[in-house]
Amino acid sequence: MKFLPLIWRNAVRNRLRTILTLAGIAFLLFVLIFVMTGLSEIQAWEGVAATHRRVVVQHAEGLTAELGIELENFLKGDVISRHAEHVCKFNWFGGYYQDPKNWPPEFAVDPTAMRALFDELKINDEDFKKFSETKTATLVGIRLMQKYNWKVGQRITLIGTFYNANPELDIVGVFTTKDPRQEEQMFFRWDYLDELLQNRKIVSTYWMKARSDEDIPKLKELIDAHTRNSSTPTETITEKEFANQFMQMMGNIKAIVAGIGALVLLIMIMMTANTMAMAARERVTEVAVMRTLGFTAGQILSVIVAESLLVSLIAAAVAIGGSLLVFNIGGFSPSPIYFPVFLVEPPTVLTALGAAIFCGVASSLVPAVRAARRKISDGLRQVV
Amino acid sequence: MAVPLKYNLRNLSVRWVTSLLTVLGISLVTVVFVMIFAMGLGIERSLVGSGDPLLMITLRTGTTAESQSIVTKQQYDDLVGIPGLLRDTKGDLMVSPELVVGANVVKRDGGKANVAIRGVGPMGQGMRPQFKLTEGRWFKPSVGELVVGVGADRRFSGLRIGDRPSFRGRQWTIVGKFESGGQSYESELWGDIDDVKAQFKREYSAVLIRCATEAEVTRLCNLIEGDKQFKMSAKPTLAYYSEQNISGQMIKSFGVILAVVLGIGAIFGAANTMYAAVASRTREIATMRVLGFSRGAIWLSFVTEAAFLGLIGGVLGSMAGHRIFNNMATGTVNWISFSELAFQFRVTPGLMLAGTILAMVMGIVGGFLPAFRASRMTIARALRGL
Repeated sequence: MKFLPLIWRNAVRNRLRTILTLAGIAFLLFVLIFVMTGLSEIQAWEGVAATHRRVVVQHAEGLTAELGIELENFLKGDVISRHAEHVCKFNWFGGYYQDPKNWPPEFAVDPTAMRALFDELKINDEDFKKFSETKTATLVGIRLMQKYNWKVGQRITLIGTFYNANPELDIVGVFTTKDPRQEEQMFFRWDYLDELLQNRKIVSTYWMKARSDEDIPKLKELIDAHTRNSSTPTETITEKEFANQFMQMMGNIKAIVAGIGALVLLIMIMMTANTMAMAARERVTEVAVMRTLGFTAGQILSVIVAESLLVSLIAAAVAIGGSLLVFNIGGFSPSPIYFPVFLVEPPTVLTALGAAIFCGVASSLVPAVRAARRKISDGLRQVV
Repeated sequence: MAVPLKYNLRNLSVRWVTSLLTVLGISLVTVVFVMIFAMGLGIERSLVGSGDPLLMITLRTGTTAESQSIVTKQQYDDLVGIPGLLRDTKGDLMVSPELVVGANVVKRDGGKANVAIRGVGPMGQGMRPQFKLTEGRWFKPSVGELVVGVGADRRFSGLRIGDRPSFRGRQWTIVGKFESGGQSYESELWGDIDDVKAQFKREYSAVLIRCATEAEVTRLCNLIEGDKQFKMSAKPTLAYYSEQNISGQMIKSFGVILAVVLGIGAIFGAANTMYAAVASRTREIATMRVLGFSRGAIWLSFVTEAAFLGLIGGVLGSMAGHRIFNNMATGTVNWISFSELAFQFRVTPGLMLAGTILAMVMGIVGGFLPAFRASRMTIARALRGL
């Protein structure tokens, strides 16, 4: 600690160089945070999904296939009595509002079961009463309300793309919840959708809540065995597995993000190494003098590494602060349709910090070791 | 008079460690740029390339994708009734009613994705000139046979010739494999329209019509869209597939943000190197001024040196990017059709050139201010300085 002033003086000795290095690292770290936030947003649902014991019944051949209404009786009877609570028909609607660019997540559900299943959504009783009494009612997340400047009581029309239906919906209430991504969603009634689709009774998925974690495998076995030889075999999965399907479909996003991250880290190390090599070269004589004064090789080494670490950490603070400002406070999203929410999460901040520390140490190690190992006589002889 | 180029090149090699680190930094930025855009271009190629200017598609009004569209038998009959449609040499109409459905299949690299299954009319292959059977034979109608696209075969397991996958309660047999010039059809399974329709219990999803000229495509599209009786939308397949290129566009816009921010980072690095180069050559610069080189010549000389750093980095990065990523085969989801789209990274000469130019710009911008410092030095002070 007593070397702190020395480290600081070293760092600011060539102010221009330090500022350029610092800015360079900050920009590169910003890129790292940006790509990692993209990945964490894609994975966000999986994180939320893991906490609610919700189970999804879908067709064994995936979401493009539909389930029948017959299954509901079985689920409500046998399955409920043994392993689960609540059964909710759940269809993703996929319509747009006014412009195909406005494409929020819309779900057609059974009101009572939906409220019980998604108990993390805060819906007040009066709003919910209207939702269960009005066939054309819709409950909308607070962020979605603000985005389109909707008001409670307003009537909106969604244009169906996936389904051949254009529901006209009355906004009866607004819900809030902890996760901002869920506040971008809206729910309306499955029976209204069915009416618009001439009562064809199309159910894309059934959602249930397992009584306990132990009930989850039993639920899966019970339901899938029941449908195995029917015309609509099912695959019963947890909400987390359900969310993960979409990740799998997107392909190797993780590998791409990891690749970009590794390259960015490498660029950072090269840039800092360059600076530290320059700094060490200039100070050969000075290091030799310090050694004659009694500084040990270890102390010389740690002073140089600490200087590099200091610069990297300041750059990390700038990059993290900047990205929080741009994304979390400024609300910037690189693609508002696919990323209605784009928030830098704590794990990403930690990774950026780790990358900065790694870069600071890795880049200064070679020049520092060389400086510490040089013979004093050689150092003193050298003319810079 | 300009400072000889050789002077700068020699300098770069004298201070080789610093030069090398800077060049490598710039080349890695170029690699990232090339990689992201190669991905965008690959997706674009397989989607936009799927369009054919002489092929048009008719869908239910309001839908953007075959997988979401429903066309009834009546609507199909209405379309076929349009007088003057193109016929092949045997006199058959160049029209194919098609149905696109999906099913989850395990991918070779783990996980599942939807493979698109397309039922086509007898004219389906004939009206797509890029279509070529590479192995096996075509499917026979009504016995549950399918042919697999090379892309689908590459991405999914259990879809080789002879395999018997089960979709919607029936075992199908894969009897052949086809290519279609890198188009997204290669990501699909193809079978007979009536077969697929019966098994998946669906109506047609689209009707494809081939025309003799582009003018005829335009005329027919206007005719169908203008006539309320059809209740259908019609567009050239070129436009239809371009609209699906959302992933490609998104990757490109991500790529632009990344390239700009990474580029700025690299510019700071280059500036650092060039400032150090200027500082270590103070006396040299003064000597050159004494010899009669103008301030402008000195400035230009340093900017050129920086441009060289960028150029070398750019060429290295583009070549490495080409070597690593060109033709790398992978796949992602086409969100519009909700099915797997196999594609290959494409590192085109144009992309390599763009990467190299970008790298040179990084060098030049980074060298700009240091070069000013060099050219502004007072001779007397610089000569005195140690």
